[in-house]
Amino acid sequence: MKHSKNQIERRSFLKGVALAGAASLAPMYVPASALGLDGTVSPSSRINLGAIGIGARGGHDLGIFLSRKDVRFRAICDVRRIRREAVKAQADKTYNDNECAMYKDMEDLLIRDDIDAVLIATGDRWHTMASITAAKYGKDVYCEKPLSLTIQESRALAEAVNRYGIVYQAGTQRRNIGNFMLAAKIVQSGKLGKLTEVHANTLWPATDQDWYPAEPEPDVNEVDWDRWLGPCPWRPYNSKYVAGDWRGKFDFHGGGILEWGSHTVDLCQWAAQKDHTAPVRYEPQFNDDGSIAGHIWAYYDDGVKLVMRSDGWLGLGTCSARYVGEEGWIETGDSGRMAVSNDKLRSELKYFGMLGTDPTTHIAEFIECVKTRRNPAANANVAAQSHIASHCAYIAWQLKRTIEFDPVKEEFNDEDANRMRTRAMRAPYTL
Amino acid sequence: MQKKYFMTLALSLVVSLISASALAQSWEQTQTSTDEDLLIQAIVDKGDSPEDIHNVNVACKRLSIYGTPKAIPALVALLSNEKQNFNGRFALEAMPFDEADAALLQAAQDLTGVCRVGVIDSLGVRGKDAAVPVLVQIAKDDADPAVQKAVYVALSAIASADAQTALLAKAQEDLSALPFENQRALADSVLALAQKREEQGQLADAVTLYLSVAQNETFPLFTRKAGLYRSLLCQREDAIPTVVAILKGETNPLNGAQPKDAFNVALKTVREFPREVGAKLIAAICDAFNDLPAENQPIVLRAFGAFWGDGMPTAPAEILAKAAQKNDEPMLQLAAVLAATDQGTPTFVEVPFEAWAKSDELRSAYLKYAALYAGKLEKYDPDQYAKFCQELTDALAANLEADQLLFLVNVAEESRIKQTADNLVKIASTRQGKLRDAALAALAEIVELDDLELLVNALNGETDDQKVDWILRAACTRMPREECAAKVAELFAAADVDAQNKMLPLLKQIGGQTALNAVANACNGATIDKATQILGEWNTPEDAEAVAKVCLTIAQQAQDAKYHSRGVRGYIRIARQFDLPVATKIAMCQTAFEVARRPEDKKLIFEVFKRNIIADNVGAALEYVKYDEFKEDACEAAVFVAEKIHVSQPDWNWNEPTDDQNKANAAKILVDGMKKVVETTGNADLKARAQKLL
Repeated sequence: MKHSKNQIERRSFLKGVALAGAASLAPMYVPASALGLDGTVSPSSRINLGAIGIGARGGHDLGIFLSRKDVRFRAICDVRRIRREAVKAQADKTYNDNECAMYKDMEDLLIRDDIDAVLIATGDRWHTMASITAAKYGKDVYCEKPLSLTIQESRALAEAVNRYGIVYQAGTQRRNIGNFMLAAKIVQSGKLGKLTEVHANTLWPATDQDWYPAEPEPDVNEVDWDRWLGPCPWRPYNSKYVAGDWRGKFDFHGGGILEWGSHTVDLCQWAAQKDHTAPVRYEPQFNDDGSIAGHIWAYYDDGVKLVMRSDGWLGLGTCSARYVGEEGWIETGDSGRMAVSNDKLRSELKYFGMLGTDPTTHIAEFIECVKTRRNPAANANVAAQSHIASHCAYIAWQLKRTIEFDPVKEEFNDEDANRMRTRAMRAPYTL
Repeated sequence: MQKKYFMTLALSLVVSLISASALAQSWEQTQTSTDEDLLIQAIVDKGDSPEDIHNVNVACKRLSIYGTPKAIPALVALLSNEKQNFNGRFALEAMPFDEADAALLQAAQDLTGVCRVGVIDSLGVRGKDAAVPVLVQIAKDDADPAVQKAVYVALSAIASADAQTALLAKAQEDLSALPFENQRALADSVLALAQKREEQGQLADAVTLYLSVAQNETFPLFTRKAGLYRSLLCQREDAIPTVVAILKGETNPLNGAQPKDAFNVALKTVREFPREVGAKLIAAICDAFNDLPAENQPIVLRAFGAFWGDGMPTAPAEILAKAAQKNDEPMLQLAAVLAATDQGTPTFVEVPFEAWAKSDELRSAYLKYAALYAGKLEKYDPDQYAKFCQELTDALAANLEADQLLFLVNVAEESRIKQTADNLVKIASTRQGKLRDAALAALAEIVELDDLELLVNALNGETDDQKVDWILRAACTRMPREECAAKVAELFAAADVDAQNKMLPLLKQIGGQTALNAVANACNGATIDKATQILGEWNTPEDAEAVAKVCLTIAQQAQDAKYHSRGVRGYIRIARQFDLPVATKIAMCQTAFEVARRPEDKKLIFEVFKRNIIADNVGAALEYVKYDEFKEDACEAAVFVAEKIHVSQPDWNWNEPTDDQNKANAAKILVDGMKKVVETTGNADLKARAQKLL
């Protein structure tokens, strides 16, 4: 809120400090969970968590949830027996009991009244479907990124989250990491002057249509292959997919722009205060020899340029972002370090020892929001917009031509591009 | 029937039109084709072997973008095959033609089971009103729960007036015999339809639909809560009396459910009303605040914090101030501080020391609030801010309890209040443990370049290297770079070897020419090990050429193999990691290759080539096939780059003549390069990959 000088009416808190006497109350811990605002979170109890699809990254997230005193992990759903059992063992060891339940079908987990929230860390192909299903059961969701594989999925997810009023946090943790927060704050405070460009660190965009050779399909209790595929097109089983080698496959993955853009385009949208929209023009770039480059330039309706590029960074770590204004620039990355264009801006900096890949503070914010029903930093509405921007860029890159986009209607000026906004889902799956 | 006959006829025509002599397409060829006839050929008369499904899948993806009505009969033929149904839908769902609607509609009537479910979903995605009567009829005739569920979803997606009538009629039936999954799907479909009406501004319609779910006791509670939640938001100002009554426990619109369910829903809406409604709602809740059940007061107070940001309505400061004083109600105190922080309350909300000193959570919240408040004072009331700073400085010098002092030190750090520096130095030198650490951290945020020695002196005797590193970095991060580097270099020159080794990472962190010179000078004698290691990690891009030069000198002059190798690797890293012209990188690779003594160091140049997906790097890599020891690495790098170029531009035929000279040159490099790989490599897999690219 805006304050004017005469609105400031200070009472001395220092006076309160100085006058504090020796008399004190008995020590009293005030649990924040006492302020839980949803009936599913009892003031006297912890948040009950379930998890869906836990691999390497999910295991890292889960370790952080398990370490929190205000969370009680209750159940795991995974189509792989080996992962179900590993997670159960991890949870039971943490709590020294045998209570973690195991499921193969997520709806069996979601229907439990005693589960408040879920951690979703399946492969990308399942993120939207699992999140929407959880929302429809009224569960709060922390979902690893990317939240979607298409423009249509992004919108459907945001709508479902809004419809049910659940708390949704996309796993784009940099919104809760100091150096990225400070960089955005510096941009928004106008210290770079008028913002002209934002740069997002992305990867080589391509995906492929390769299939691995068929292998004998395991028993459904070992690996439920049909559920693993979920809404994606059928293909024969191969253990490589299940072991994680699905990245880069079109059916399961949104390409290299989305892979990091879900983080870095999101950071750019945030810093540029474009959380409610997306660029209106996307221009894939070409090398001197005519071959397509990995760079895409995009423009917001006010002329601010979004540069998505894989190279030319200052070496401040993966998932870097750079913001350029008329009076200076700032760049930061996963190392936590920040670089600026001049010493005046340097005086604004702060050293953060936290890596950009660490989701601890992001998970903490999610938990706080589950308790208070506040919208978290990476909520579905803002994440949907940054994902849509990434999808648009990949569509332009695949078509190898400039396309224009109406962020309100979510339509292109290009028929081929419009036909790439959705992907059919394998029956009986539907958004 | 007539339509079905037409489609069969059309399909046979399409098949006959396709040249019988056309070769079967592999999926690899199909994925780059825009030739519709070839794409249609790829999907006609295919079975459901994995190969067929793969080929059809890839062709259908192409047809989803490039297909015309000509492809529709062939696509329709896939819909009755459970494993190919998806592929046909993938293309049909995306096509902007009426013929695609007609074909899907017919298929919905002809098919059963999971194939019908898929087609119904596609009709929903396409959203044409004409599908509604057919869908309603299917729902009447087909008792399959999966089909019924698909119809609900499709009707809500179509969202026409007819679709709404049909869905509402279904929702008003006796649903007790419906499977739970279908009850849930029906409720969600009505909610989704209501959401569309809300987006269209048809709020009365939306409220009716939302309440039809909220008040239906057959539906699952979580869907009913969603119905109430959105109906309240849609009612805007009219909802205020209901929201207040629910919060007071006077009414429960979720008949049959627990009052707390309605309470939680009402409370959630408090955060989400538009600001003009929010202001009135807050005022109404504040009027009723004392009538709220005591256990709910902190929760409601906390919810006020949702209205943060410029111009948003806030709860009256008096309520927060009064709540913050209630030492016998710690939850209320915490809620008041959190709400005050969120809102930026203009009057300071004071929490008595005896309360926050006993609660980590309250202290932490209060600290954040106090620091934010100080920041606001600085911006809006310089006189008061000056007094605030003086009071803080005096308090830091007073004889306070450790907890109190720690709090004040943290406020000084968070607010970066410079005049507290001297007192912080005293605390750092006279206190131990958490208080000393906090004072050092605060100093790191406060000291200016001229006072850097003050901080360094305060760190004297500190045995925790990580702490020292952190504190110095925190300070240097925000100081003018070259001046800071000069100061650190000065301190570095006067330090002993042990201290110098600790300061080298700091110089890298600062970066720039002055810092680099200091590190380069340290690349001999007792600090050579750490200094050469630091050079290999240097990451300020404007120093790239200078760092490369230092690394190259080390590589050329170091007698010790370890440092020679570090020099080579550091040099190659600059080419690999930094944004330099491709020609420069290629030249650096050549130099590194010549200077390097160990094969494993020489091989690192191929990683540089693989970083830039450009034809020049194919040619550059293959320059090294003349060295037997490296020919396979060179071929592998060349194929890696060529493959990436092909994947990104599958429709670029390298053998096709072009007027674009740059493109022609690039194509020649690629074709010659792959031929060279085929001739040179002894690796069968690599040879096959290169041949495939040709």
